[in-house]
Amino acid sequence: MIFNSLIFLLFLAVVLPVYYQLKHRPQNWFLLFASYFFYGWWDPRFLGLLWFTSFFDYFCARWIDKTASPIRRKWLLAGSMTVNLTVLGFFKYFNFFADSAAGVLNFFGLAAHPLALHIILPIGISFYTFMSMSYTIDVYRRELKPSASLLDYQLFVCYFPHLVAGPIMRASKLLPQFQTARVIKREQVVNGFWLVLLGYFKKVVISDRLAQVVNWGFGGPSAPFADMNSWFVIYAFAFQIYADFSGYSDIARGLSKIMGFELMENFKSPYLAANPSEFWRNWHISLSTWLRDYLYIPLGGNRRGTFRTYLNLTITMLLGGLWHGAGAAFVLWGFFHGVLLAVHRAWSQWRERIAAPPTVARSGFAAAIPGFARFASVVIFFHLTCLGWLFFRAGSVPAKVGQLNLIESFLRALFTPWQHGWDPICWGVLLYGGIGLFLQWKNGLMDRFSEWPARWQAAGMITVLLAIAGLGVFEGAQFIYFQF
Amino acid sequence: MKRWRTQLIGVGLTGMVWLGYALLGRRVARYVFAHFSETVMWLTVGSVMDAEKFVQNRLWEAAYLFSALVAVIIIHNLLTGIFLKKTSGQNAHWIFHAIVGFVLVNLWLAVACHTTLFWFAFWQGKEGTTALARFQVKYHVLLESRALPKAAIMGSSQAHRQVDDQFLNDYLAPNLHTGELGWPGAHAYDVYLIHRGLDPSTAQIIIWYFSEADFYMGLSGDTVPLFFGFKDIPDCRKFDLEKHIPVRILSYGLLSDLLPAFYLRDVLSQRILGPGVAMIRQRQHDATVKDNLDAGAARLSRMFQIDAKSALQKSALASLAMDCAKRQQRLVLIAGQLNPLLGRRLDPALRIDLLSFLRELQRQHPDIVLITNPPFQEVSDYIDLTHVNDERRRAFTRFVAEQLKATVLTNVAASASIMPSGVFKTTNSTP
Repeated sequence: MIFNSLIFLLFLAVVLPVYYQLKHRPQNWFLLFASYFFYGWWDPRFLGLLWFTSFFDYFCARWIDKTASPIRRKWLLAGSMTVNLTVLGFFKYFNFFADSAAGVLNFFGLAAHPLALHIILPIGISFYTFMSMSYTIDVYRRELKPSASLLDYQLFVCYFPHLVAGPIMRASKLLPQFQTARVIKREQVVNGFWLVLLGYFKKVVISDRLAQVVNWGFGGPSAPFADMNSWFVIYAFAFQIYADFSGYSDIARGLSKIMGFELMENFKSPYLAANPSEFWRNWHISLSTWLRDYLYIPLGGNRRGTFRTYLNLTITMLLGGLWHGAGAAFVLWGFFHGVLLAVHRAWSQWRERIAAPPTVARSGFAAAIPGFARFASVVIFFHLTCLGWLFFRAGSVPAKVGQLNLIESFLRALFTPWQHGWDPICWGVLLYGGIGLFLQWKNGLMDRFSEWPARWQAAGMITVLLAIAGLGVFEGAQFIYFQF
Repeated sequence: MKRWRTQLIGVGLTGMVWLGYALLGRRVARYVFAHFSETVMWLTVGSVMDAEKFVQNRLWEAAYLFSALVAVIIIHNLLTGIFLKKTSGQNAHWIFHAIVGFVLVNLWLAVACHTTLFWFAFWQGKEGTTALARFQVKYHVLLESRALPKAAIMGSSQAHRQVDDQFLNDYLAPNLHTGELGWPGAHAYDVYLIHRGLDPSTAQIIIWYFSEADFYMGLSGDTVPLFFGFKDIPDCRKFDLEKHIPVRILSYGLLSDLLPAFYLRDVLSQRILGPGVAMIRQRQHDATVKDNLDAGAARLSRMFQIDAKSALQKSALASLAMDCAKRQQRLVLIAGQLNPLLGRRLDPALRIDLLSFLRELQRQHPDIVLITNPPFQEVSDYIDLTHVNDERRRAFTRFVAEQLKATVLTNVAASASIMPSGVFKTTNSTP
C-alpha cells in the first residue's frame, strides 16, 4: 500500500476516525494492527521477517539490560548485530555478492555461475533493521532503558508512517511518545495536514513528472544528448529524488502530527548547501546521523589522527552507499561522497591554518565577497552532487544496460560544450527545479503553516490542492526509497 | 456599503464588457480577422468556414468567461458573508476560504471547458498540443459550424493519417463539412466512449477507419480517465469493465467528471511545462516505433488475439451503432489495414472474425455504410507500421470522398439531408 494510492486514502479514512475515538492503550493496539495490515498489503510473507527482527531485538535488548557482565553484554550485542546484518545481507545483498564473486572467479579463468535464488527484497527492510539495531545498541550503551512493553516496542518498529521509508527514528525520541497518552493540539493537526498535502504535491506534481524526463534520459544505453543538455537530465533526477524522498518524509511526518506524534525532520535545504558536510546535515538527516552515531564515531571518528579521520569518513559513506542498494553504482556513489567529505575536511583545516582573522570591517564590494563566494560554492557543490546522482541513478538501471558505459557516456557528454541548442525539456526541468529550490529555501516556513496569516494559509492550500489535481501524475508510481 | 463594493464593481465591469461587445464586437472581429487572418487559420487548422463570425464568437466567449469569473468572486463573497459571520473562531476561516476557493475555481473551469476560446489557450501547434486540447478545439469548431451535413472522422491516429479532413472539405465543399475527432491509440471501446460524450448535433455522419488493431490488440483504455464518467457506470456491468480496466483508472474517470482541474491535468501540465516534458512519452514511443519495423512488427503481432477484450471491443462497436441509430447519425465504417509488414504476420482468422462480425452488424443496422475492401496499401505507402505517407493519404482521402458522394451524399445538395441506407462495396480494390 503506497501513500499515493486510492487504497491508502481509504485506509486512512478508516484508521483516523477510529484512532481518534480510542484511548491510549487501545490506540496503540489499533495502530499496531493497522501497521501490520498496511505492511502486509504488499505481501503478507514480508510480515514474518518484520516480526522476527522486531521480536528478536526486543528480547535481546532486555537480556542485555539484565546482564551485568560486560563481556556477556558484548557477546549479546554482537549476536544481535550478526543476526540483523545477516538477515539484511541475505535479503538485500545475496544476489549482488553472488554475482560479484562469480565475476571475480570468471576473471581468473575459473568457471563459476552465480547462484540464482530469486530472493525478493522485503519493502523497507533497511529502514526497520537500522531502527531495531539502534535500539539494541542504545540499550547496550546504557543510553536507553529497554521498553517494558512489547506492544510499545512493536509499534516503535512497525509504526506505518515511517515503516517503509523512514525517517529512521531513534527509540529515545519515539518510544516515549508511544508510552504516554497523547495530547493532540489543533496547531499540530493543521501543520500535519499541510505537510501531508505538501508531500503529495512534491511526489505527484514534481517527482513523478520529472521521472518521465529521467526515465527517458536513463532509458537507453547512452546519454540522451551529446552535449551539456545532459546536465538537465541529471538536474531532473536531482530534483526528482529530492521531491520523492522529502515528499514521503513530509507525508510521514504530517500523518504522525495528525495522530499526535512528532517524527524527526529528514530534509532541510540540501541543494542550498555549500559543502558536503553541510549537505549531509540537510539530506536524509536520520540516516546521516545514524551513520555518524553508530558507525563513524565507533570507528574512531576524528579522534585518531588526520589520516584515520579521512579513512573513517570514506568507509562510513561507502557503507552508507551500500545501505542504499546492492550495486556497484551505489558503492561508487557512497565512495564519491566519502572522498568529497574527506577533501572538504582537509581543505577546511588548511584554510583555518592559513587564514588570518580580518582586522578591519569590510565595506562595499569587499563586504559582498563572502556572499558571492557562498553562492559560487553552492552552485559548484550542487553540480558535484549531481555527478554523485549520476552514479546513484545508474545503480537502479536494470543490469542489462551497461552501467559503467552509461555513466561514461554521460560523463563525456557533461563536459562537452553546448552544441545542439535548447531542448524543450530544459524549461520544465528548470521550472520544477526552481520550485524545489524554493521549497528548500522556505523549509522552515513550510513547517510552521499554523503560524501563517489566514490569507496565506487559504492561498497556499488552494494552490497546493489545485496543483495536485491539475498538474499531478496519477500513475501510482512507487517512492524511490521503497526499494532500499 | 463597503461590503458590497467589490460586488458592485464586478457587476459594473461585467456590464461594461457586454456593452463593449454589443457596440464593438463586430468591428473588432473584422479588424482582428483583417490583420491576423493567418493566425486565426493556423489556430483553427483551416476548418472554419466563416472566419469573421468565428472571431466574433470568441469575443462573446471572452465576455462570457469574464462574467463567469466575476460571478465566482461574488459567490465567494456572498458565502463568506453568510457563513463566516456565524463562526466565531477566526483561526478556522482559512479552511472555509480554501474549500470554497477550490470548489469555485473548479466551477469556473467547468464553465470554461464549454468554450472554444478556453481550449485555444492550450493550443501549441499541431505537434505540441495534447490530444485532449486538440480534440476539444476540433470538437468545438465542428460543433459551432452551421454547415449541414457535418461529418466527424473518428478512430485512432491511423484514421487521422488515412483520411485528411481538410482535403475532404476542399473536395466535398459545400456538400459536406468534416472535422477530425480522433484520439491517438483509440480502439473500438474508446471510440464508443468518445462518441457518447459528443453533442448529437456535432455531426450527422460518423466516419471510422479501423484495422485489426482496433479490435484484437487488447484494450488501450487511454481515454477512460478523461471520457469515462458517471453516465457510463451502467456500462461497467454491460461490458464487464472492471475485469479489463483497473478500478483505479475507472475512478480517475469519475474524478475527472467531478473535478475539472483533474480532467485538465495533462493539458495544464503541457501549457506550463511546454511540450518538451509532457510529450516525452510520445517521443519515446515514436523513436521505438520507427526503429526496425520488421522487429517491431514481430513484437506487435504477438499481441493480437481473439479473447474477452476483443469481444468487449466488438460489443462497443455494436453499442456505437445503436447510439448512432438513436441519434440519427449515419455510420460509415471503413475496415482498413495495417502495414503489410505487420498485416502478413497476423493470423488470417482475425480478419475473418472481424468481417463476419461487421456483416452481422450491418444486417442488424442496415443504415450502416460498410466499406470492407478499400484500396490495398503497399509497404512503401507506410511511414511506420500503422501510418501512411502523405501521398497515400491524399489518394485514400479522395477514395473516401468518392465513396461518400456515392452513398450518403447522393442528393445532399438538393435537400441538405443524408440519404437513406445503402451497402457499399468497392470494386476497384485489390485484396
